[in-house]
Amino acid sequence: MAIRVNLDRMLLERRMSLTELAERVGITLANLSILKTGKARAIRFSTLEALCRELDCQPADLLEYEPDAESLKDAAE
Amino acid sequence: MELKTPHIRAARILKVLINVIIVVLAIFVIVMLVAAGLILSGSSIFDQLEGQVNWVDFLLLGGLAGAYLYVAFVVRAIVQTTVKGNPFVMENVSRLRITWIIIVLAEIFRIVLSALIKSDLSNCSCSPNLSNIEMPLQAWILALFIAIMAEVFRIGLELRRDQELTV
Repeated sequence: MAIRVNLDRMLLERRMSLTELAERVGITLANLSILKTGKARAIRFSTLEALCRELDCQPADLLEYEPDAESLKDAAE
Repeated sequence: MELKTPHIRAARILKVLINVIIVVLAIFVIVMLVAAGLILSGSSIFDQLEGQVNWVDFLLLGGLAGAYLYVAFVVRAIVQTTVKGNPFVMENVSRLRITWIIIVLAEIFRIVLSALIKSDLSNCSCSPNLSNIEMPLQAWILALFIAIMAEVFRIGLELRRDQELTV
């Protein structure tokens, strides 16, 4: 997936653990780990809103576009 | 996680029906194969039917019933995944694909064997009867329907994966 979620940086800046963030946002730790490790295929706006609220940031602070070989191949097709 | 919906009762009834069908088909297959074996061994049990049926008829019926017995086992496996609340798995896609291929092969087997050797019961003839080839469309339509369902399940699997990986 070419979209990267920069949770590690934000958690470090806010001095928050992944477990605490999961509880505050209202999703399971497993789902948050899926997001953190880049395995998620989609994110709900409600989840993104909750992340931005709890981390006091903008969506652009969390999401980053890094084209990879797979996405470039999809674009070419 | 079993489905906590009224559909679980329907799925369980379906399981019972499929189990009954499996038992009936299994008994039928065994009877047909035993009958074919008895005729081949020269048993006098079927002397009264001499000229009307031969061992190939029993083998043909037993083989076809065996193919449909396998299909029944596959359907039962699919129903079990449905009861558990997760029918969209790769195993079900593979099962459905194998099922329609088996139905097509069974029909081809039946047609070829019928054309070559099968005797016509109504004419009481043991000679090959090419004019007696039956090609009912039901089996072909069933195979086509199952092939389509296999692709539907594959798409369902993709949708389920997307849903699971949506945070």
